[in-house]
Amino acid sequence: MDEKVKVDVRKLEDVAIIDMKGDVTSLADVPLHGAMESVVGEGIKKVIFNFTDVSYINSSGIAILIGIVTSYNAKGINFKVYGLTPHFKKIFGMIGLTQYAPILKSEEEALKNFA
Amino acid sequence: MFQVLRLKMKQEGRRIVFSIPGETDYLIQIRSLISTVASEVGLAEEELYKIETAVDEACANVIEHAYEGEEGSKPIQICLEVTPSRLIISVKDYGRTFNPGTINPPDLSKFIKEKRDGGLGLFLLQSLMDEINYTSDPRGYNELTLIKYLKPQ
Repeated sequence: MDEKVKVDVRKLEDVAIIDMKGDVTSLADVPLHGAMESVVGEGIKKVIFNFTDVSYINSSGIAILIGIVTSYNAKGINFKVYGLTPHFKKIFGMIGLTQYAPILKSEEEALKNFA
Repeated sequence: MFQVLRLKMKQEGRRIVFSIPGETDYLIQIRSLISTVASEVGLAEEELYKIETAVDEACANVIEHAYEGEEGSKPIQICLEVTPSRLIISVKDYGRTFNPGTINPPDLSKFIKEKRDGGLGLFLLQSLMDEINYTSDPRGYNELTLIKYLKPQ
């Protein structure tokens, strides 16, 4: 089967940027949790989710993201999000995900928003 | 393209009926078809995305819950009907029946405790469409009907 989602981690000083590519569905569970474990293991407390190359997100994918941001938020990790389409911005807002991970327009804005 | 994907499609009067295997690999094709039809009936892009997401969620729910994750075990039939005032999409499955009960906004704490969607899919369906109805037929199938109101031309 083709790989449907790809998750990579970039680091910019004390911030980790998690770049996702493809469809964020239940298949994103293992790679996203793996990325978070490696980030937190390095003591990083600021995480940005980049959705620029994400073509689709379903409720299972949203549930995984909510699970991650709520549980890691309770451990003192701060999240920002950018690259979402207007449609998914609305859905994230509707579900309440934005209270844990504010949506910014760009990576630059997301980085500035931590300050 | 769709013959290659074993997707069956036929037109019955004002209705178009698709039949797909109950596999997640087919969801992308369904989203594309729904998007094309919704666009042809003049829906705005924002509404089009809502319908596309709702139908994808409905089919994913069938695969995960009605067919209990046994991908490809049974088909999903999708029927599209356009009336002057509505776009009606029905998703029929031949699996386990569920009781939709009261669809409440999802409880975020459940996501942490249960590590599951906690009704998020159904909540999305209700939020994205103007009406949803679920029926279980004693002849052995379930049907979820999704309705989007069309604005007068």
